[in-house]
Amino acid sequence: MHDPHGHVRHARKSGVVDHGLPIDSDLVDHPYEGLIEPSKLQRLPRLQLGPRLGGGRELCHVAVDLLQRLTDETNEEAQRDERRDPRSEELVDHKPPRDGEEGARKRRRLDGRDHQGGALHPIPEELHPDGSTAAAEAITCSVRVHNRKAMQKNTVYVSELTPPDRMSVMENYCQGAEISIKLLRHNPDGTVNLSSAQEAAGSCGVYVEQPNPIGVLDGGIPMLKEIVGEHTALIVAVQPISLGLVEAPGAYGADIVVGEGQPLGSPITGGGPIYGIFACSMPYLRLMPGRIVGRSIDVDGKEAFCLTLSTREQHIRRHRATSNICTNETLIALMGAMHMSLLGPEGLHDLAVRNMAACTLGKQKLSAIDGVHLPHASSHHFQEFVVELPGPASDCLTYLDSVGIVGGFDLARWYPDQPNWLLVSFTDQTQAKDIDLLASQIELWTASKEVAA
Amino acid sequence: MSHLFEHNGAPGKGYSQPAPLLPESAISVPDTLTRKQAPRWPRISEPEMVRHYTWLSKRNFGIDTGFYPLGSCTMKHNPRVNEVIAQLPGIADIHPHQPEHHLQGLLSIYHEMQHMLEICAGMDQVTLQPVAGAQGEFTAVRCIQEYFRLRGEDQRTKVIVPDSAHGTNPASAAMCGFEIVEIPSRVDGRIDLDALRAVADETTALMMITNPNTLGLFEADILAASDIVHSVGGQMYYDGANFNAILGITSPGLMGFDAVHFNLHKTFSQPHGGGGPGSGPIGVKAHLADFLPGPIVEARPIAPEDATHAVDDLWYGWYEPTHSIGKVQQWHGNAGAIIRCWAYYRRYGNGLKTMSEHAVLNANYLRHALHREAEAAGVSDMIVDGAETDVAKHEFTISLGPAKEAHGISAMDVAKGLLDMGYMAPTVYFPLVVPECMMIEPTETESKDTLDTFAEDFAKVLQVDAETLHNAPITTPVRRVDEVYAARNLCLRHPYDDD
Repeated sequence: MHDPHGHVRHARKSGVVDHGLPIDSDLVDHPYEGLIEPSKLQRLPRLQLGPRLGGGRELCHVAVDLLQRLTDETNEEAQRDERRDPRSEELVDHKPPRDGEEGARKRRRLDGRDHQGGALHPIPEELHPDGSTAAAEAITCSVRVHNRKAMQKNTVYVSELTPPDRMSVMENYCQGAEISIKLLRHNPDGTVNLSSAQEAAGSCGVYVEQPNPIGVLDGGIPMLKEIVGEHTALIVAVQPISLGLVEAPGAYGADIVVGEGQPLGSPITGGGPIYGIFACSMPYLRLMPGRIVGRSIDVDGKEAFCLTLSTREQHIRRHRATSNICTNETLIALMGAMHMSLLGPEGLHDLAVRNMAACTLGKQKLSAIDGVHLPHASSHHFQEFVVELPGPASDCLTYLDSVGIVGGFDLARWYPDQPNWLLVSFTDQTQAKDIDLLASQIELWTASKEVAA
Repeated sequence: MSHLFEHNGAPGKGYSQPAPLLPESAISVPDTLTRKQAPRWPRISEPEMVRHYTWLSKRNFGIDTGFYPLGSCTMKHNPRVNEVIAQLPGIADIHPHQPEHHLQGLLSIYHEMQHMLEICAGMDQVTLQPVAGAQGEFTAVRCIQEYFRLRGEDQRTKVIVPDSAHGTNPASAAMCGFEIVEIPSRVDGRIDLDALRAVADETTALMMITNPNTLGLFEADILAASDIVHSVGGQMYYDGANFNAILGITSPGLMGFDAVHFNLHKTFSQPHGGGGPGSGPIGVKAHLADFLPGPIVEARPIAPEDATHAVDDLWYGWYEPTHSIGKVQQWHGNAGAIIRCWAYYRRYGNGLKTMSEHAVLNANYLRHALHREAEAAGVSDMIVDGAETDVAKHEFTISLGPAKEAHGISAMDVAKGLLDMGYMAPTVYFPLVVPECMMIEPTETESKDTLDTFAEDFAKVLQVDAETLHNAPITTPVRRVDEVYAARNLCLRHPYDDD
């Protein structure tokens, strides 16, 4: 096995007793002290600029505090597995609206129409473990809906910039249905190559991100729906905060919108639990994965809520279900609903402006460094952009780490032919002094490279 | 009813933000992407928001408000210290892409948790990646699929599930592209070995089963079933939904299983959260370990240069298994859930065996108490055991079939009557093999007083006339909800006036 030492000595200060389960005598007497020990040993950098996740932290504490209260009262199982009978009926009867569902429903109200701006059609929305699984399920959903009429059967096109981790999730979800994933090409400025996008016409779906994985806001994406046609799903992954400034994908023809819900007010917590957003237009409704809450009435005609359209789901359809989704991330999405309700429409706009202003200032400061080049400088960016360094990004990150900065992400991990590309990320949480600090340290590192050269 | 969207206060009422680092005139988006209409979100102040959600929460029923014997869901108490641990800044504020030397504390937790789960399951390697039980199932089935592909056994296209299996089992296997073969259970609810023999052949990839089974009965023939599947070259998959019955007493490894998932939100006290976040790690025997999704944490003795960052005498690092199926979600599993469950495990250690014993004891006590109280109230002819057995495991079934026949009182009616008594109703109409079924799981965290009172109240509900029960519940915030109305009059988001 991979882990010989660990198997011999598996738990700090633990002994192994008769059944092999460890017992820790220190913890019996001092449980709290023992349990917080590893967290104290974690190292938090003075500046954290990791990609994709982040931002919105100020309001987190409000939601976290409230959840401490609410968790007490929402510890109920959402699994209505295996029973034809509506357990939801009991659930809803007893405590409607279930807080989690109400939260989900609120998000639906919030996102369902307004994120997607879907004046054209009502858009239901529900929850997935993270943005990558939501994207993967959107792809399989597009094939369920369009395969019959598709000229390119079982085929979807995915942006070639999609990070390998997300692509790997998609491949795992697609391989069972024998879906072929083809790549959508991009221009040198980071935008989708619209003439190559014509190849995707007649396929089941097209997946792009807005902003894309290197932070570019792509003004060509609104043209995609017309290019690929009515019978190809346009799937757009969003950074939800950007929607305070950027047009709702529903308004430019997106059929399915997915995204990472974390920036809407949940802690990063090492990448989980967070939640994925999944929203679609009406033609996809009955073939979409996951749980949907609907408004109804009770026997007295009073407003009530329950899960609806459940005949798509595993507890009823079993192997013919649209997905195996059962437990998801309800409580985290509830944090998102609280966060959005406090932000309000203007708050979302202001948050997006702050995010983009930090990003723009970052572009100004970093592009001013001698020897540093922004390969997509002419494009608009939200939150993230690529910095091309005079040497390997991994070397630069090692240096930055030595001065207490997590300075971004080494894009060679995604795009191996770009060893010098550093992805930097600025959010509403970034302060001007942070940007100055990063710029000055990158400048120092760059100068040392040039001296060495 | 209070609606969040009825709040339409002043702009910026809920949250005031600092000025942006550059004026708004300095930023721009492409012309084709300019947002034309602001989202029509509510405008609400913080106290209004807090009151709104607190009001909603008071209309909910949870394990902190009452007894919640929902079979198959393991609604145990969630120790509060776990919440404190998970919210510490050293845990809540870390980014998954931080380098390993920043994360030695977290990685040491992952490492311990992997190994603790390996001990529990009798497996050789655990990955903490899957974020829900069903995702764990999907992941394990994918690993087995790749294992067979590498061995050139592509003809294995079938997955066998008993008809009493959780719906996620066939759904997960079908997502991987397998054909599902369902086998009937015996009349007593247990696995039918003859039916299994009849379908197991060289096209069998795996069998998915839970033990104790969905009736709360231990499958005494499980070793024989494993032998049948292994004899045709197939793999055995253990659905860990019912782990609460067996911790420290036996293990899937001892029963002949090759792969297993855990529901940390059931067995290991992660709060259910009304539908997540959960966590669904999987464990496998050595021959499947190379196929697991990473990253997985491994440890080696510290080297001198590690001293600054090491948390003990081991260095913890991520690795990707050689033939990994790849990712099933993008980050590193539900770290927050794993940490809560790690805290639970660290607190109880070997006491988890006692925990399982108490879960089984409570279930059996309640089963007898229900019959005792029904007898005392003169209504014992209304219920029968769902399955013939001397002892149940952590949960048990009863049938309201006699009540339905003699009085027209269904399991659903009794469930609704229990709501009026202030309880969460047990699971009803599952498993399907028991008519008018109720599936009851009290968990180990309930006291004898609670179980006795529930049994008395249950007998009281059985004495209520059919007409009254058909109308139950009457004390809940809303009464029986019209699901057909919801499906026919779809209202899936806030209706605006100009819709």
